[in-house]
Amino acid sequence: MSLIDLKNISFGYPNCGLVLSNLDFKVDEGEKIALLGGNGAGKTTLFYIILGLLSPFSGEVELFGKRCITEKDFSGPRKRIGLLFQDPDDQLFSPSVIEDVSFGPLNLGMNRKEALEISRYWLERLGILHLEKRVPYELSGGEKKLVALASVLSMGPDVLLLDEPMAGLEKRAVERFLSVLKDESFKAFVVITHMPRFLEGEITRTLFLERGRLSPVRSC
Amino acid sequence: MTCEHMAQGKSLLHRADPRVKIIIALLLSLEVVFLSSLTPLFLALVSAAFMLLSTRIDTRLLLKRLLVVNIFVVLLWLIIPFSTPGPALFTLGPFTLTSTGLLLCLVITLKCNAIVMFNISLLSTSTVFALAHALDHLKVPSVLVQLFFFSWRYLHVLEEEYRRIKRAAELRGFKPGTNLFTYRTYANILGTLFVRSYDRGQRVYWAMVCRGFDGTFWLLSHFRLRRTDFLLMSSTALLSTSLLFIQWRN
Amino acid sequence: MHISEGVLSVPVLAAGAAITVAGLAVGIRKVPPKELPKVALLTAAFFVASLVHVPIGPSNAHLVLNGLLGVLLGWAAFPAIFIGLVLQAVLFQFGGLTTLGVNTANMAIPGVVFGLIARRFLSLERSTFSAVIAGFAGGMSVLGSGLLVAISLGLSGDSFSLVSRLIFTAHVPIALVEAFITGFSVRFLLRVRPEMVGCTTPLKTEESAKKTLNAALLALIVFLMIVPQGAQAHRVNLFAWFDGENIVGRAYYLNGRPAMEAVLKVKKEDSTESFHLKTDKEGRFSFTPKGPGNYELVLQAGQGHMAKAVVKIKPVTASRSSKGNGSAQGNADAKAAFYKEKEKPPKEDSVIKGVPGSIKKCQDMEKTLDRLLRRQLEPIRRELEALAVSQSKVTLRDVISGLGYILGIVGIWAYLLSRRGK
Repeated sequence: MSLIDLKNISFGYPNCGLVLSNLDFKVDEGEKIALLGGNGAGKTTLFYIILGLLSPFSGEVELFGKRCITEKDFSGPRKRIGLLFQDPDDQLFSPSVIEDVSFGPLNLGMNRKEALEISRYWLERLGILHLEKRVPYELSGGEKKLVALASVLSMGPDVLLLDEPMAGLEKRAVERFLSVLKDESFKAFVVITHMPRFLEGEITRTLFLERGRLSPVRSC
Repeated sequence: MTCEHMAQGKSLLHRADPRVKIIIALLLSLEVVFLSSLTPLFLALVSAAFMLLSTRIDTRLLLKRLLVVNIFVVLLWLIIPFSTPGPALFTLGPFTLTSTGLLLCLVITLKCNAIVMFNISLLSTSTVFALAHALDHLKVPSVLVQLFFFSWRYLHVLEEEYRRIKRAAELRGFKPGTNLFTYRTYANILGTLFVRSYDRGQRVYWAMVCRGFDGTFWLLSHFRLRRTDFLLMSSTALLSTSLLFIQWRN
Repeated sequence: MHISEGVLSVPVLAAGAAITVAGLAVGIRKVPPKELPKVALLTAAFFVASLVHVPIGPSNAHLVLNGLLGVLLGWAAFPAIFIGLVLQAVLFQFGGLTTLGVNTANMAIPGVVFGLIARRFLSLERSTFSAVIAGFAGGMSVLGSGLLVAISLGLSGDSFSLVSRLIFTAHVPIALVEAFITGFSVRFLLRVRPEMVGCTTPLKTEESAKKTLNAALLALIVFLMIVPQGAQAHRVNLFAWFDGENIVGRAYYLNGRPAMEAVLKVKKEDSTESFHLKTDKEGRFSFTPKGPGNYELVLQAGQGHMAKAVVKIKPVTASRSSKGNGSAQGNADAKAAFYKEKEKPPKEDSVIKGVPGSIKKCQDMEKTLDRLLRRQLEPIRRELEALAVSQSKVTLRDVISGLGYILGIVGIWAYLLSRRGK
């Protein structure tokens, strides 16, 4: 059983033509994938389709071995697949960092104490526990990104979809981020990036998205 | 963008429970609206000014804000004393200055400034997020509270975005003037802003759904009433009853 | 345009608050959780846009954009504008809590009404036509809100009449600029993101079209209920009584101005014949009735404004040439006051009866007395007239605030419903 299985997906935006055409994409357990592609190639769109935020013109989406069509089908898998948005401002909206990070756990049904505990754990892990009480929109770009990452990780996802996680991060933050990817036991992750060099050694497969289709890349 | 400069501070009013402050602000404003004689209005203004000074907000900033508020009042002073029928004080060409008009202007000025001062000292001393939380606790419909809070959250992002778009236009030689081209350019700038906000709104919702959002907002922090809040409540009660009493005596 | 704190009268503030509560109740129901971030983001965008200064001739003005907001958000523009004003109050201290209701209503009502109407005409195929319609909606929304601001001021007291006229005039150039900007913006959105102005699906389903129409109609009704407050001021009142010799009276509009040269039709109740006369420059009239009976007066003041009054003249008693009893239409208090004034003290009768002499002499004396009394009572009569005029104006205001309260109750009811629905 694949964790993510897209078959024959086509999707496009008005005035733009097809962005994805008859695309197949499969993520199995243990896979660590880097996703490359030019601007506007449809990498982010692919993530949205995986999580059912956009519905494809044609094709099938299967998550954890279950065909997903309706909004309801996606709500279960969404809790197990963590998506880090490209712009952390899209993700952070709470009055304080700690509230933002515990937004997910609370929605999962944890009580306040548990939610706080797990949120603090992830802030600590990413080295930003000192930001706990700060207002998210006043943070720097890199700090925002880390908080957004913490808010995804606090859900305890099995699979991570990361949209340019390292853009704007300073060197130490990148290191911390990589150590999290290495040490934590995620079943799989897909990283959209323009800097595949940083991920060397963490990656099992590199894919290139071009003209609506994915093709494997042997070496970067 | 003007941020919450006034919300930063350590005064008693800054530390008070925002729920209490909202309720008090509402009560006092309403009461001032109902007052009609000069004595209680003066008293209200003096207590509002006292409250405002106790917040220790930068006086220059306060004066600036009050000046803006009073522009409309000045306009009224220029017109109403002459356009109100009543006993004439003196005549100046075709204009007759009446005492009724002057009195009305005075009442309006007192009311306006008293209410605005109450508002500054009670509402602007809390952060918007604290106010939103308080409104949620006060059982204001959650859609309204969330709108309030989300709008505020993204105000800065959008302001930045607008500034970027406009700067880019200016760098390409755009100079605003009274002509159709200017208006069309502004319309396109605003249109771009709206499209970006719309898309961002979509993404924000998606990000929330991805984190298991199902329509309920959970509150992590709770307010607790402290001694200062009770002090504030009782002094307000005293003030408002005495205002009412004086009004009733007149 | 904001109205500052402390200016408006309590009934106007209450009515505004009630209307806003109702509008919010409707608006909130149009914002499902899915749309909430979008509405919030657009609210924020409009807040930013309203800080933009656009040059008009030598000066510049803030944009209002309530029309565009109506086009984009429909009913949700109500909460959006409300939130915008709350933010302004908290962040910039532009206004306070008491005027929040009136200011929201003044801006949101025209925006929602014209926005919803314009939305029905927008289409991808006719983008220029759509832009013109949207521009019209944008301009009209600003004018409409200027009118509502003027009305709110006007209803708060006669002193504000000049100010309200000035403010309305100041809205005219802004409306022009807004028309252009709204039109161009909608054209831009039609090209870039048509779904934002409701043009996603090329084929609108019949039902949704019907819904929009209903909403537009409802909005129009609400708007019409509020706007005619100005027009109402032209309703005409008639005030007439019998002074012992003539039927005299005065006609005036509800704003206190006399109904000049209006046609008055007079008809005696039991006869078929009638005649016409005209009021003078002060709206006064007078004629000599033909004997006792009920006289029906109908005033036609043009533009379909009409008022009726009945004056009763009691039959003459044996010793009296006339015993006048005026009947004033309109106000019960005034009427009662007149009876008191008009009825001659009973003592007089006994005095006359007690004096022996020819009846003719007695009648002459009574006529002179009547005339004297009439002359003496004239100032009081005028005073009473003025009182009646002012009182009928108070009732108008009462009616409006009553209307506001009704709307408020409807609003609270809608709010409760929406809470129960959750």
